[in-house]
Order: sequence, then structure tokens, then C-alpha cells
Amino acid sequence: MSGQKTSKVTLRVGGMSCASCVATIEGALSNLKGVSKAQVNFAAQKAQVEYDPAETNLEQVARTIEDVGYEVVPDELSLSVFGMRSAHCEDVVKEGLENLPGVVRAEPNSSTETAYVWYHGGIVSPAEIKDMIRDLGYDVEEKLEGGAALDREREARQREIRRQGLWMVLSWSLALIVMLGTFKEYWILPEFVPEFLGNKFTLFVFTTPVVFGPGLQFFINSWRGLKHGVTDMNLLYATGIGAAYLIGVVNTFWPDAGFGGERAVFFESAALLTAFIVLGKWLEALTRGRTSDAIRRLMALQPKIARVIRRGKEMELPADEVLVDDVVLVRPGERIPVDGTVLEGYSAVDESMLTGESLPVEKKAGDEVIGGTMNKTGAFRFRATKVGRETALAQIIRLVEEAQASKAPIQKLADKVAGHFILWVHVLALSVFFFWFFVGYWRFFDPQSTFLLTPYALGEIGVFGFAILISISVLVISCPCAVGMATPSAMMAGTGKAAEHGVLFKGADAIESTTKLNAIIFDKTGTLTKGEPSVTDVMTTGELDETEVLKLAAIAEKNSEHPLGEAIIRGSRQRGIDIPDADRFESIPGHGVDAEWQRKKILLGNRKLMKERDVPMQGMLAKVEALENDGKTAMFVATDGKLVGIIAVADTLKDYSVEAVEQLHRLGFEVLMITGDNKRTAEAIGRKVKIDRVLAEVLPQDKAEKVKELQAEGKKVAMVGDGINDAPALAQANVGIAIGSGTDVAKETGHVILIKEDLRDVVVAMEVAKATMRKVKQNLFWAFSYNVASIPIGAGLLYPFFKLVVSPELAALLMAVSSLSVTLNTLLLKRFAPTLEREKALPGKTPSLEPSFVGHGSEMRRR
Amino acid sequence: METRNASAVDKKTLRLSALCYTGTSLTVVVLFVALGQIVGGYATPAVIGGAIWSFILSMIVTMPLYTSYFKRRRMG
Repeated sequence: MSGQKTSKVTLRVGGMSCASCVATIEGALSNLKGVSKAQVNFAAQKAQVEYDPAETNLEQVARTIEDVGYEVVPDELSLSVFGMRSAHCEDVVKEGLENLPGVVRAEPNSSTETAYVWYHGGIVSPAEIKDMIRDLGYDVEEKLEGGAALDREREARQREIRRQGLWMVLSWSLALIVMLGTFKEYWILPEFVPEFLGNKFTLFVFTTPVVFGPGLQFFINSWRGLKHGVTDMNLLYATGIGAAYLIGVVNTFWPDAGFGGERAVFFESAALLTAFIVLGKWLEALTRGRTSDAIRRLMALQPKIARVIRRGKEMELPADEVLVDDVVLVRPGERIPVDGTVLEGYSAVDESMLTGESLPVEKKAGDEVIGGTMNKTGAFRFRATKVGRETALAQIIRLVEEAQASKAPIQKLADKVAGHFILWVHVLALSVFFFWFFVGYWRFFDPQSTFLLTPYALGEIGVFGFAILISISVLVISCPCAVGMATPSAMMAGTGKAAEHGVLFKGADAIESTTKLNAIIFDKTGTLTKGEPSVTDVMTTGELDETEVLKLAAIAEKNSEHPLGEAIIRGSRQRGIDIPDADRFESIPGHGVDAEWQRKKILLGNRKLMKERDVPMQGMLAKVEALENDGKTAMFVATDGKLVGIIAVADTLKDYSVEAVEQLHRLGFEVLMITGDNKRTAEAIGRKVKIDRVLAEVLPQDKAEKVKELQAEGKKVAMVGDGINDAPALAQANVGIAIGSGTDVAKETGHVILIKEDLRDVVVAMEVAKATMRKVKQNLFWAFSYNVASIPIGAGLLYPFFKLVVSPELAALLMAVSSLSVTLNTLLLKRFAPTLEREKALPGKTPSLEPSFVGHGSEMRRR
Repeated sequence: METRNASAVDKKTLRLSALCYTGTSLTVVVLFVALGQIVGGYATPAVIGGAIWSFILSMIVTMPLYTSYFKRRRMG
């Protein structure tokens, strides 16, 4: 190996647990051809490898490590990237970064102006990554969090709007003069346009600042992209503007060169082309920010100042300097700065901005408060429990940001199409040029023919001038900007609209998947029901009295965390029964519990448990069936192999459960319920809520399997349940919906998170997803229709029949209009209101979605 | 670190792709001029202008194609 060049790389390796892992990895790497040295450091979790790049490469080294069962862990970098305008800009950045040695993956997003980069720190540094992005023509910095991010974002947006606005004023004022000068012989213009304005040198003087001022950005950005082997829309603009300007310059200073002479001076094309494109950029800068209003509004909830007691002294400090365990004071009318637990005081807090909960919530000592919510009536002190990135508000913002930065499958397809499009547009422009140069001009050209929507006759323009004019129009009119914007703009608006109602989609793909659902499974306990059952009946066989039966059951359940067990404990305590500890306790999932106390063996559970342990039940079966038909869960109590009694427990349905299921039926969904309860009880509950299908007696570990079975029937299934306890089933479902996450959204499994316990939010999620996808499809339809219709016209299809050709400046106007129409169509989504909101807004009308079991009472809702 | 080596290999890749896309574009130019001769009746400035425009567009089309092709070959 001497004399050969070697490369050295340091990789982070995951999954190592001991020194033998080190030996395994080193052994595997040493056997890889080209590797001269491999050293693995277990403590640092890193592998240092020296290899000959002629014989192997980084990918093979990483694959070797993965093949022996370990993970090569890349570092992650979050960046704010300014200047990306479209899906094509994203491709430019992605390709540039992924071509950088050491970068594993890059995910840029023009809508949120972010880029997430996964890289091997041992090969490339964050500084090199940022340099690469700057080299491509974009501003970049490490992503800020919270209020600093909002300020920075706002400043950057304002700067961009001011910059494009300035260019727009400059380009339009000069372009209009050039236009007046060019058309001075037409209409009423000879009356007031001075002669000198039509002079070619004058036109040159007014056009040059337009091309090298506002227009320069397109040339610079194109060159940067080309240097890295990528093409984007700047290239379309630059070639169009550049060609028109250059021909004008040649025909002005060298009219006898043979490029059409003095009458083929295209300065007005160059100037107006620039002006229209810059107008489009200014409008885009103005409207872009509005689609991310949701994040802006959420971030604005964060108060800047907090009042804190430290070392006995009250002080005001920036909210981001509050520490965990600080005592924070909140007065009436102030916003709560961080999450915490109330220490003293009493108040009502408006949590609607964050959770959508419409009524103020009473807060007293021991209650949790959420940062960003508004304190209404009283003053209180609380201990900060979560600050900075850990607060509920920060988690929700992060979730919405991540959702907005993700791509739905339909967007990936649109981006792929738009990405290849630029190349094919140039191929088309070249083909069109060839056609009109060698064939079309001789067969069809008419000196009296005009540009579309102008009286400007083409006159004696030569074959080269005519062919290049049409070629330039094709370049400009074909721009797929609208296609690139169609999906991300709608997704941003949709995720924002959902967040307003306490519905958080974890990604754009979650929105798309939600619209394909046809079945929704609700978990019963804690989802359809409140999850707080209570004892309704105690029946005995006669051997023991009710109190003794309940006491034995409570002893068996004392260490249980099951809701039914907790109900028995509560029921016993309410009756004043003393509950000693069991001597032995064993929980049997899906069956019950087996315990022992004072040498008495106690069994508490369902029929399955009694059958397995050979406990005769016949005497009580009729009573049990009657209870179950009433929707109650009956538990058998047996001691020393003999049945002594039955305890019935019932849970109440959540508010609005019936109405939510009705609404889902109206939307065309099949609604199912899954539970571990026995069939009779489950079906009784199912009838009350009007469930289509009940899946009963399902063990907790089998819920995911049941979801899979439904999927095997060809259904697209959503599972609504607890984000932690039902995690496997939620993960298995096409869309997992975690309900009642409260404020700790980060740890929830599921593709959709509902902050409130309100089942109607499931309906809201369905409706918002549908509205969003409808908007996406509308946008894509208009964007593609524009391209399909405009390209043949730009290429001169109308010319042989109508002697009309599209001028480059008209092409630019049409292109700007198509992008603007997509953005404006998306903004209409802000007016969308889910059914619930619409019904609430009707004057004098009580929403049809009335609560099922809980009556309305006072203004404040107690938790 | 392989930065220096990667840089040398990258330069070779870029040179190779530059050769290819420039060569292809010049071929298009030759084709354009040849067609001009065959069809006949074109003023020299028109042919020169058309050749330049064809060269520019061909470069724009072939530059990213060859660059990403040779980069993929180097990585693979």
C-alpha cells in the first residue's frame, strides 16, 4: 500500500454495547478491500478508518458497518436558508449538498426556508455545508428557535419585500419609458411622446440599468447553479432577458451586422420581461409569508417578559431566561410565560389559542398551566416545570414547522416533474428555434403579422430575429413555478388551519393519507369513554356480604393500574372499607388478577379467568348477562376456587361521542370500536354510540394485529386512541390519531395529534385534510393547465393560422399571473371552516353536536 | 481527511464532464451550420447568430446531464 494515497474518515457508530462490538466492526472493516486501518473507539462511539479511495469509498465503508449489525449515525444540522423560491431551488440546494463528500442527506424546503442536513462530521463540517449553500446563491445560517427565529424571519421577509419592491419600482419606471419610446408611432402616443425617446441609443440607455440592476440577480443565480451542474428557473429568465438585450445592442451599434438591423431592436422585450418577472417576485415575497401565519401566530403567543421570584426578590426578566423550578408570578390580563404547576392563587385561564378549548379553565393550587395562554381574572404563582424548547407551545410550534417542512407523496411527484421540466424546456426552445429558422420562417412568415395583444408589426425582422424571439418566448412562458408552489403552499395553509383547532398533523403525508381513509377504529376505554369507570352493582352468591366481596376485590386490585381496578378501589373507599395490602399479586393481562391475602386465594376477572381456573359460574351467569346487556362490565370474584360475587363497573361515554360518530358516518366512514371488554358489554356500548362494527375481547397486545387484519381486507384504517398506551396500533394504522395528548405532544405516537379530549376533533381533522387536498389538486390542475395551454402557443402554434405570436414580455406576464393565481387560490383556504365552527357561528343556533352525558352548567369548566 | 483527494477527483470529474458537454454542444453547432448550408439562402450573420444561440442552449441542456452522470459514476 506504500506510495498510494489514503483517505481518512471518522464516523459515528450506533448500537455498540461492549468491547466485542469493537472487535466485530474492526474485523469487518479490515476485511474490506482497500481499508488499511480501522480503529473503533467504544467510549466515543466512533470508528476511524483509513482507506484507498481508488479501491473503496465511504458508502462501502458505511455499508460494511451496517452489514455486521451496527448503525452509522450521521450528525444533524438545522439551517435557515433564505432565497429559495421554488421546488427547483430546493433541488439545486439538495443536489449541491448531496454531492458534497460527507453529506448523507439534505432536505431543503422553500416554503419554510429551512434545510435539514444529515452529514458525517468527520468528513465535512457545518461551515463547509453553509459555504456550499452560499456558493449556490442563497443566504444561510443556523436555525434559530422561538422568538429570535420569529424576529429574524420577519426581518428577512421585510428585507426581501423591500428589495424586490425597489427593483420593481426601478424596472417598471424605466421599462414604461422604453415601451413608450418603442410604440411612440401608435395610437395617441405621437401626441405627447417626444421623438428622442424612440431613438435606439436612448432605448439602450434606459434598458441597460434595468437588465444590470433588477435583472442581474437572474444572471448571478443562473451561473451559480450551472457551476454545480444544476439548472433552475433563473436560467430561463437569464437566457430570455440576455438574448433580447444582446440582439438589441448588436442591432443598435452594428446595424449592418445582419441580425435584422435597426428595426429588430428588442430593448422593450428585455426591459418589460425583467419588469414582469420582478413584479412576480415582489408579489410572491408579499404573499409567501401569509401562508405560514399559523406558526407566526403561535410564536406571537410567547410573552417576552416574565415576573419571577428569586432569592426572595421579585424581578422581571426575559421569558427565555426563566429556569425550571423558578417561581413565576402572573397577574390578571397577562400571558403565562412558561409551563408550570400552580403553587398558590386562583384564576381562570383562557387556553383557546393553544388548545381550541372555548371556555376559560379554572386553575388552583396543583393545577398545570401552559405557557402562551392568557390569565383572565385572578393572580397566582406557579413553579416552572418546562421552559424553552420543552414547553407545550415550543413542542406544538416544532410539530407544525416539521409538518410544514415535510413533503406529501403528491408533492414529491410534482417536484420530480417540475425538476425535469426545466431541462426539457431548453430542449424545446432549441427545437423550436431550429424549426422556425429552417422551415417555419420561409413557409409562414408575414411582415404584417403582429405580437399577440399589440399592434406592433414584426415588419422586416429577419429569420434569425424571428426564430430567436419565439425561442425566448418558449423559455419564459414554460416556467413551472406554479407547479412547484401548488402543493407546499396549500399544505402550509392546511396544517396551519388544523393547528388553530388543536389538530396537529405530523407531516404533509399525514394529510394526504387522511383523505384516503374509509374506516375509523376508536379504542373504547379512555377514547370513546372517559376512562373513569365506577362501581354500579355488587352482587353476592350468599356466602359473603357485599362489603366483604368488595373488600376482597379491592385487596386484589390495590396494586393494579387498570381502570377497572381503580374503580373498585374508589368504590371501596367511598364505602369506608379499609383495604390492606395483598400478600401476593399477579396481573394476568386480558383475564384479571390473582392475589392472596391471609392465606385466602382471591381471583378477580372475567369468564376466561374463571374457566381456566375451573371456578363454577353457572349460578350467576344470568345476572351477569343482564348487567352486560346494560353496557356494564361484570367481574367475577372468587376465593379458594369458589365464586363469591359479581362486581359491575360502568364507564360513561365522553361528551359528543354520539355526535362525532354521526358526523363521521355523514362523511362516509365505517366506524369501528376495539376493546378488551367482553362482547356483550362492548356491543351494548356500541349500540349507544351507533358503531358499525365492534371488535371485542381483544387483548392489548393484539390491537395492532386487528388493525392489520382490517388493512388486509383492503381498508384504509385510522386508529383513534391514547398516543402512549395504544402506540403499536396507532403506528400500524394508515393514520394513527392520538387523542387528548394535552400539552405533551412530543411523546405521542401517531400521525395526527389531537390536543383536546373532544372526539369532534376527529371530524375536524378529516374535514381539514379533505379541504387541503382539494386545494392542492385545484392548484396543480391550474398550474399544469397553464403550462399545457401556454407552451404550444408560445412555440408559435397559432402563427400559421392567425399570424399571431406571443412576445417575451407577454409570456412573462402570463407566467407571473399563473404563480399568483396559485398563491391566491391557496389563501382562500383561510376562509374554510369545519362543520363545528360553522354551526357555532350561526346566530341563535346551538350546535347540533350536543354533549351526550354531561350537562352544561357554570361558565367555567372544571378539570 | 479525504478533502484533498476528493478535491482532486472532483476536478478530474469536472474536466471530463466539461469536455463532454462542450464537445456535444459544438457538434450541435456543426449540425446547425451544415443544415444552413444544405437549406441555403442564409446571410452569414444569421448563421453565426443561430450557431451561438444553439451553442448556448445545448450547453445549458448538456452541462447538468454530463456533470451529474460523471459525479454518479465517481460515487458509484
